[in-house]
Amino acid sequence: MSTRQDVLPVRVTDLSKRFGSFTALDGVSFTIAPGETVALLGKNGAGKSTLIGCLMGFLVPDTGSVDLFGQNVLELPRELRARTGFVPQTMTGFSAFTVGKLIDYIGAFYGTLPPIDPAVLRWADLDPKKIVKNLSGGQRQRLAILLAMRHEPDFLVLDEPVASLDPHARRDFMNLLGDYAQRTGASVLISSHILSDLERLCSRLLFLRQGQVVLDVPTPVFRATTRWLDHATPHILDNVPLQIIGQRETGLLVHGWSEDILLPEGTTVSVPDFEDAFLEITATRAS
Amino acid sequence: MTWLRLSPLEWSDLRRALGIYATATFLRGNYMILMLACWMIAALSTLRDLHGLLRHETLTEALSHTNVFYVILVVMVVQSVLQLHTNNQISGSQAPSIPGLALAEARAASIVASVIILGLAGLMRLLPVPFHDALFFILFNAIPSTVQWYAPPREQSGKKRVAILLFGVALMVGQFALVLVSDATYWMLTRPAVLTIPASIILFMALIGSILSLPNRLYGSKPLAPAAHETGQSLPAETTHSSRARPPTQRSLTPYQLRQMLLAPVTPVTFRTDILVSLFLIPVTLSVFAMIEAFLAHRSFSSAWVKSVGTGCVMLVIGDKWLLDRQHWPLLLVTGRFGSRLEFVRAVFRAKLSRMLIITPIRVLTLVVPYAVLKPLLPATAIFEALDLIVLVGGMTLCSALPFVIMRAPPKSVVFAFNLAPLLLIQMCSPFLLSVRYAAYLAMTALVLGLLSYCFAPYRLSRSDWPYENE
Repeated sequence: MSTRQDVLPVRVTDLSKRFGSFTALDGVSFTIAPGETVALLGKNGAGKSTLIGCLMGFLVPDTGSVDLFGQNVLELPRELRARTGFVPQTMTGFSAFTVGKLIDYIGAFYGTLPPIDPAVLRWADLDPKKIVKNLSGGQRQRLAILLAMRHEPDFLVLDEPVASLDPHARRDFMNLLGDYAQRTGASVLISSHILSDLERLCSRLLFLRQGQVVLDVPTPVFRATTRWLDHATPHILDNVPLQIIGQRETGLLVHGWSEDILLPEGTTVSVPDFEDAFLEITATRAS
Repeated sequence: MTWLRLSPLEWSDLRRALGIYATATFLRGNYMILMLACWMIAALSTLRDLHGLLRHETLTEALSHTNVFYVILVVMVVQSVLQLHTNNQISGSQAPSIPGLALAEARAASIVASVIILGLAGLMRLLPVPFHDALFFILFNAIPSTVQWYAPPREQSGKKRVAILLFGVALMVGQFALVLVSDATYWMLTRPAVLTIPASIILFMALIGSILSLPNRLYGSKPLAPAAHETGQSLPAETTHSSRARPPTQRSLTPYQLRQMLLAPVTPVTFRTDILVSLFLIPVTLSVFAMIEAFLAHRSFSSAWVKSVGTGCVMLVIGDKWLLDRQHWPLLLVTGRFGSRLEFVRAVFRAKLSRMLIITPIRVLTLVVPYAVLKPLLPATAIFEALDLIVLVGGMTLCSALPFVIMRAPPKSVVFAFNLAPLLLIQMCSPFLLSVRYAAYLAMTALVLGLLSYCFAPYRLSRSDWPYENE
């Protein structure tokens, strides 16, 4: 039996996916190591949900492959599928079940499970006798999260999990997720537009733009090496090892900055706000 | 037969999935159950009548005096009930990520479908009809369901799903034509075992195969829907077609339909289309049925046409579920075009009534005029029967609102049953099938109940919850 640490949980190789003439994913490659919490960032239509669909094996890639725990996701055996968990954007289905019955019913597909983590149960705060159909949107989402974390997956995928949660539930969930990842050593991929949460929680940032990975970087490195260079133009960086990841009228957003890099005179360096950086990195560029 | 070789884990999955059929969850999630119960009562009553008639009549005679159509309806509705349940189970947003769930549900559905088919065939054995013939009859009538099982779940919907469902409906109509206007039932129930047993095996395997292939169709090439707040933004149209995250109103209403419904908030077709359909639907369909019957039974076209008039009566109300689809009501209300909630509901009822007052006579006349000519009927009788039918159809259609008069928040299954009740009752109460005098009383009762609904249901509906949920 393989353990949490012995295989790479996720390996995506040259993944492409088209819908008709629209290219949703274009040559995406990355890996996720055990214990990594990766934020999937991108504007609407950047390909985040398509990437998640391919990662979970719901969508069939046109080219490239997705391997989970060393096995192609399209041929993932049951025991490996059981090591994954998925939280959708909105929970649909199972509307006639009571909450308690649904948790038991779905949980049983993962074999014999230990009792639910009391912290998760407390956070979810759901009446087990209530019928799923009668839950509010936020309660349904909490149920979806509970169902996905019930079996303590080694690889947890969350597709905008907090969009319908109130600020209390959102903050508590982010703490819960952080604790979970730390306690179990699970790998997590989370897509969200709540940037502050992602910056705080995730150990790595994966920026998607127009179906391509434009930046894949550990969060501390991003914080330390991403800077605004005001009064700088692209050509003056020809001899400087910096990656331009954004551009506005007054200057450039660069990655790879360090104190040692010598910049042309007149260039001022400032630390970007995470949201500003996101907007620049993920902005649509003319091809 | 690999599906029979199950691991202990798969057996336990299967047991749990089967267990759901015996719980309140199954009943709660299945709004077609009540309708199935109604058809089941009608079918059992038919079988009992048939059983009695067969004591002193031949099978051909007994079949001509009963309506085996109800048994066929039960066969089809049972499959629809199972499809609805299975779809509820496997089409949730998290379902594909749960290991073994889809397969267990498909296996459970195939077992329940098999048991029900064998049970129905066993019931028919009481007539008495040989078991192999009864089984063939049941399985033959399950062919449209076999096709519809093959449709992908709603969430993977698209052209393929619609095409398969339409093909299933076309098969169903063809089958109705066969059963209602020809001696196909007699033919099916009297075939030799050498023909029915192999045919039954093939049909049975096709049905089970179709159900068991369902998990394979869960994964597709459809894009996952963007989040609700992302829809309609930079994704091209083809990538935003998935219905998963789309609000119900959008799912059920195209811009074209919306334009129509802002004018008259009922059935989303134009008045002109409705008139055109009404003018041609019944005569053309009955003529096709009559031609089939004339060809198969070597009967004259006119007598075949007259015989198929019962089907024509059903077509007067078919597809009329004006109170079942209310998902667009909140959207239409917030346009502010109709005023308050009560005024909006009254506008719906007014629109329905005015549409009905024009359309129903047209439909009835397209049925009665050829009938009167071909039968032939005395003009006075024809007029009287036409009036009966108009009143009956009008009253019955308005009676769809009765659950809202009786109950504060009727369950979807009850509304569903009342919306389909006209179909059953028109079939049973049509003046063509009863004495004219008796039908007149029924028509008057329907009219009184319909008017009662028209007067009181709008207020109750305006005070009840409207469909707003995500499901």
